[in-house]
Amino acid sequence: MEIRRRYSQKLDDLKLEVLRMAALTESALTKALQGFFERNSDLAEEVVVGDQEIDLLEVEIDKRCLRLLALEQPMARDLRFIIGCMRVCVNLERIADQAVNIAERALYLNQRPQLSYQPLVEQLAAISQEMLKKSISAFNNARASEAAEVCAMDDAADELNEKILRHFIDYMVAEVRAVERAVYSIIVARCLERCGDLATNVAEAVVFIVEGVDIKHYCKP
Amino acid sequence: MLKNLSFRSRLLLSFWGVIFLALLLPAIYYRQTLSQDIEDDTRSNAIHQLNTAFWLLYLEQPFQSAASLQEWCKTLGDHLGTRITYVARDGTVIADSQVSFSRVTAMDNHANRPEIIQAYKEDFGTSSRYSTTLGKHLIYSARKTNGRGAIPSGVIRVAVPFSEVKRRLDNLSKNFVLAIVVTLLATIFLSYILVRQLEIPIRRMIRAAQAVGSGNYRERIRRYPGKEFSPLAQAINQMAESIETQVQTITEQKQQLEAILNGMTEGVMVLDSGGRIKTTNKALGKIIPDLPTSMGRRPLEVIRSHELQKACDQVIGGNYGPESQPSRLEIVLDLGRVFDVNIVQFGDREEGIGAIVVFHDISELKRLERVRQDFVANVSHELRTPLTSIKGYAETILNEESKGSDSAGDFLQIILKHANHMSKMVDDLLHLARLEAREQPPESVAVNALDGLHSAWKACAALAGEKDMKLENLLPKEGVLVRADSEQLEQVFRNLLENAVRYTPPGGIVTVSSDPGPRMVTFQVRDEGPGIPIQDQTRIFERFYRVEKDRTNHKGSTGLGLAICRHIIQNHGGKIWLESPPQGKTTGSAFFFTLPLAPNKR
Repeated sequence: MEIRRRYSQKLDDLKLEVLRMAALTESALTKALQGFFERNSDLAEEVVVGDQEIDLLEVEIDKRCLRLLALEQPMARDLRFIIGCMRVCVNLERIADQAVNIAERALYLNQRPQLSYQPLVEQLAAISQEMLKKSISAFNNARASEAAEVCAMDDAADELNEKILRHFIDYMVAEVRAVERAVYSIIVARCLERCGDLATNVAEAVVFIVEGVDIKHYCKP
Repeated sequence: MLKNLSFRSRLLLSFWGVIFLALLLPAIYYRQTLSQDIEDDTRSNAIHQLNTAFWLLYLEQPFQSAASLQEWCKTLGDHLGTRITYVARDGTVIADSQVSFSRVTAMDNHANRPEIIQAYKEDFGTSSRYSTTLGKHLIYSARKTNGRGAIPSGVIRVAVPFSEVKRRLDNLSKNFVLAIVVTLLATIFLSYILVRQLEIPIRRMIRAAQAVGSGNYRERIRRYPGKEFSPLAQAINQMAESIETQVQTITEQKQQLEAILNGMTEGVMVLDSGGRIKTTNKALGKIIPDLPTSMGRRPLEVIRSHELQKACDQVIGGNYGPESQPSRLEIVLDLGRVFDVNIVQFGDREEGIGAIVVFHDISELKRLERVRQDFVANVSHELRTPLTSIKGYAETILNEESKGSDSAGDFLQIILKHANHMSKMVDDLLHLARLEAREQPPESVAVNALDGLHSAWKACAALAGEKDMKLENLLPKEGVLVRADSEQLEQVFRNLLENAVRYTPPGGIVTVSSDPGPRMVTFQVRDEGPGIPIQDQTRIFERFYRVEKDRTNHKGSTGLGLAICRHIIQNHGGKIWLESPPQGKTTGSAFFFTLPLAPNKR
């Protein structure tokens, strides 16, 4: 009984660590976007520096998962949970890297004159953040329905990214002086779109944990 | 073993024990004595008869043959009702009263019968035995005789049946066993009734005690089976009473605590030693939407803030002591809400260290602080820009004058323009201050909003004409009657239209429409400008707040227009807000404001 209790405590701790990483990632993305939209270079700088903590956490979670797999021989749902945690944290780490990319673009753009207001980028940012938030919440509450919502949002993100690309190409044609800034903005949009994709991966891992079906690349539970 | 038996069985068993002892011992004693007496009596009877037969044998003439002895035996036996046997010295039976003469010779040798052996030894012998010849229990008595005539010397024996008495005695024992069985059965019934009488009140006591145990502390034991049980009943009653009062006290304290917790505007979360949420209060529901599911989870699982989790872990894992300082941190949650979080240790070493986490919403404080800081920075900046220009041009004019140049006129124009701008700004500020202080309560007269719109558009006409812009007026032809101060209404329209014209690209259209409700009417001023970023939308009504951070190009506005609009509308009891981009559009923004409708004149 005691062994059983300690084992479930270990699984609980693992979940908490993943959530910790998720919280850090989410705040990194938020800060990077604040740095970009509000032209706040301090926040962007924080994201670039803070990425190391997330990287270390990923390694730590990986170690934990491996130890659990090797020592406890988990079965069924527990096994899926551990594998799922590994997938989630790989994707979270990549999202954090995208946040760093955005922050670096922001650091550059903030030194240049501001481009005109870009509501499309803002919308894309909102969608990506919402997707990340939802996928983490789905993981936290083990709710496959929430994960499915994340998958459904991905199309909207892709579409917006496409629109932004076209908009900036038009803009570059008209305004040659702003080509560099426009390209950087396109990169930011591209990063956001990638964040959405990665959040979808997290959601897929959640569906794998909860329902035991692998919906990779289909995203139809 | 007895302990496991029920009260009823124990009572029954003891009853039975007593009955056995009381009935069986005397019965056995009496039976023993009685059968001894009967045997003795029969024996003496047998001896008596033997002596009679012996005497009669002597009186008789000497027998000529064994047959005549047989005849005599038979006659005497019939008269005495006994069996008389004559056995010769060698053990052969010569005559027997109950066996025919022809069969006498076939009888067993009787020499080894105990009574006969005893008779030869002591002249006289008795014995009680079961006779195989007659199939009866008999008492034998025998006496040695001398032979006379044809009869050899031998033993004369008399057998008295003992079986009649014995049978009655056996019958008696049988009846006696039956009596015992009946008594025992009766005892079962009796003990059942007795136990039942005891059982019903005891059951009642048990029920009362159980009721107290299961939470009905009002239950008392009023009747109990006997004096012996009264202390037990009293003890149970007392226990119930003290439990009742204690539960009441605890409930009251809990209710108080809950009332205090739920009455607080701050969110409170209590963590146990494992770092899991044990208690929350109602105000926390504003921070955690699904509060009921949060019990037993960890802070990070319900509030996505790693700083909070880290601080909680530190407090719970830290050393406990009265001097331990509460941990303080600020966390930013969704929608930019800022919380001041205090974490305090509680509990002790034995029961484990928990933590109390208090969330204080300081978003409004933070916002006001930022507004104030921004206002000071903005107002000084706004005033300094024209002042710098005025100063610069004035110095230039002074320099030029000495050189005798005639460009002073142009410069003076510029100085005038900046001075006008500054004076307009100061006017607006004063106006705003008056609105804020509500020095002039709006005159609530019925005004046609259409008139206000027309005069406002006229004021913007110059700028609009420059940019070749049009006003699309979607107000009803007869106008909209609202209760407002006509001058202030015009100012609201003018400010909104000015902004719309200023930010819309040349050739665009500004649309004004209205949407009457039951008591209020909603006006909409929509432009085709670039729109307003989401994070600026809540702050755009602040004084001097500008979307564009670089102030080189602010197109001649004072930055106070929207602030004035908001105050006017609020003073009229309406609301003002914006949507950017408006519903169904990708660019542009729409400003909405509401005003009370004037009662319709008929």
